[in-house]
Amino acid sequence: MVAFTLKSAGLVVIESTNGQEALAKLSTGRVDLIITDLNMPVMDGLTFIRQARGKPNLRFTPILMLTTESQESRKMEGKAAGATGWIVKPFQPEQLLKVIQKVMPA
Amino acid sequence: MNIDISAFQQAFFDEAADLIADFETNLLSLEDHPDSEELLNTIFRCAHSIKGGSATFGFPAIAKFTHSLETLLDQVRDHKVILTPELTALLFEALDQVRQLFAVAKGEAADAADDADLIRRLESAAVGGVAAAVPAKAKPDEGWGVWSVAKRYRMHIAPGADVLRKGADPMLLLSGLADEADILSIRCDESRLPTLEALDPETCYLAWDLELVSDREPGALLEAFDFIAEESEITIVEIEAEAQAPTAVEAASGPRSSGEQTVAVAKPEAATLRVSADKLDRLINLVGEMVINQSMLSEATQNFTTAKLPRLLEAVASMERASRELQERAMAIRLVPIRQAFARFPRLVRDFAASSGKQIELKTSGDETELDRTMIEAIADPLMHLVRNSMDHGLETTEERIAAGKPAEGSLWLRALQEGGNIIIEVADDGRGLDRDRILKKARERGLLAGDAPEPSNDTIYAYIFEPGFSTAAEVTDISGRGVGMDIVRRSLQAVNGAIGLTTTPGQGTCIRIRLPLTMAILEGLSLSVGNEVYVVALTSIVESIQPRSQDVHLLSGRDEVVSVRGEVLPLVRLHAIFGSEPNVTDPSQGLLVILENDGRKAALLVDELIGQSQVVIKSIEANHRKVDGIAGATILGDGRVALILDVSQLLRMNAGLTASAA
Repeated sequence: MVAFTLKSAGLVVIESTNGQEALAKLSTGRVDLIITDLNMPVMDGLTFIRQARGKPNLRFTPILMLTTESQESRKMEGKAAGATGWIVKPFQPEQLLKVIQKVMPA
Repeated sequence: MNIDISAFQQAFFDEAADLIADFETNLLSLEDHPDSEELLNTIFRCAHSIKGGSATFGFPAIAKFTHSLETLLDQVRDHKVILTPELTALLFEALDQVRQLFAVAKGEAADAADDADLIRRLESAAVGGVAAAVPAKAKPDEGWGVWSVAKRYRMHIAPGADVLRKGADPMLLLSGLADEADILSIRCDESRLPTLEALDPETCYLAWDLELVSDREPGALLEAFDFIAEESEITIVEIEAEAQAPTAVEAASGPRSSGEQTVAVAKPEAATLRVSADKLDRLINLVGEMVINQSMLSEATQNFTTAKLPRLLEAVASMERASRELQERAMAIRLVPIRQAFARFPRLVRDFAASSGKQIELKTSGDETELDRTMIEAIADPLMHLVRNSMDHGLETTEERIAAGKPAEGSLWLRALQEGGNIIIEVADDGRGLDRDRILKKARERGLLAGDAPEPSNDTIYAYIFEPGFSTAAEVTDISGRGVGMDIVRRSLQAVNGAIGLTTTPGQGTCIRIRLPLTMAILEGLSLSVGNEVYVVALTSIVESIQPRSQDVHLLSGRDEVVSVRGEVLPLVRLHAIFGSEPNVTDPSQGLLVILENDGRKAALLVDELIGQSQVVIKSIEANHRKVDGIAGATILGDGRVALILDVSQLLRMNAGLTASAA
């Protein structure tokens, strides 16, 4: 759903199924934005964010995390891990685009 | 050129706070005097200074907003735009936004409301029309949020020609920069590079243009180049994200709750204090005198002979004079005019009057009365509460006032004055006064007064409104009347050794009187001794001291000691029993009784003897040890001993509890 919205908005999207896979795909090169869920197999979202922040090419890349309503405390953990912002699932496509507009480099 | 501007930001915030306050004060006056050029000019200057400062100190959002505000004000000043009530309202709205932006800049608020619409309205007002507010502002819905986005910078680094000879290596500095920021692009400017024959290998000819992303402030990034800053040309500019085009479709989910504002987390103001140079000069003069006195003293005590005694005494006397004055002057530094606490009320009253339809005139007096800074902060909320109460419950509606034969416009007074060592603040209105019967009824309902008890005096009845959870408001309004009012006001005033009282006349108004000590750091106290210990009691809570006859001391129900003083029966409190010290005197008729009063509660404190009256400097025990019940602090006596300062109100409560649990 996220990928679909982004592609419809004309963005190029690289998808991964877990944090480990994402880190491997992002090991070189640059992206403008990373969106990650918190609940993922193999490597969860928080670990992923922390590890991404340790990579020179991902240090300042905006990272949005997807949370659920019940994860208020994890929002703060996400902030501490280095996330740029958050969006609560489920969301409207417009909301996603709005927050992306806010964090993506012009 | 390489200065870390963040060090100056606090000073800018302080100045901006003053400018914003000036802006508001003058805008309020402008409502009454719309033709005043002077007021307009002052307002314009405030906006102009805020804009200039915020641009200099790196707050582009504030600069951008105040720019459109300034443009509008300029048009008004030039009579190209007429000042209408709608325009004034718009200016107030803009002012609130400026405040909000500063709260964000200071890190007190997470995010300010989107001001694109407000800017649009300011701009359209500047060309002659007041545009209607767009109801739905593009404020984020609850559903997502952004903490911080790394900023993009464009940086130009042109090291001076001599940096290599000085041992600096630009490459090393650039890689240092790479630790702090992500370098997106870098371009080497070789234009200064001469031909190979002319090339001096020890001269630096190169310059770089970089684009980088970092979450650091520009000043922090420049720090990497401190070493070569002087002779080099280094600039850094933030690349602002392009103006976000508003999304065509407003998110359909959930209406935006009205009044949703970013709530600033209550964070104490950075503890800087601006002191007039004049006050500081006098202080430094006095320090100079102290130094002279000190050398007089050491001269007089060197090879001391009795012949030198007069000179020694003279030196001590002059030292005493200087130190007393030094103390006074030093305290005066902490004093600020109460104007600062009063300044927020004209706006509050204006807004309340507008929303309630009541006509209210606020009159303040004694604005110049000076009060300790911490005290000003401590009374801000209680004062706010009292003023709201007066407007909401005290003052009647215009129709009611006319029906009662009063002027349509209600009056609200804020008065401050100094009375001896105290500051008096009065909040008065000419409204309906307190409803004595309703308070009485409520007091009986709540069991504060036994149902069949005879009616107490009026003063006692009115004092009930200070009881916890006591509210007579028929309906709870937005403004006040939630029943958590006056007791909190009283408690927060007591926390700074203040007291509150009131007088009221039905149909004519109410006057609430707050009494505050001049300062919290110095206490006018009476020292008393129990055994080897010395205690200090604030003079303000002492009524008198007596030596009782043994027949005046009685035992109630076999255990509670009371003493009758001229017909009044007071509980007898043995200080040594409370603090477990060893007294010299256990028989009340051999010792002294100090009659204490606080909150209308009285007690007789048994001590060995009185030592004397003195000003003592309060040192906190809580900050160094922990809170001790019944003790407000400690002080150091002239002979170097430590004396405890009694917390009278707590002591009386403790005693009441002690006897209650013993009974």
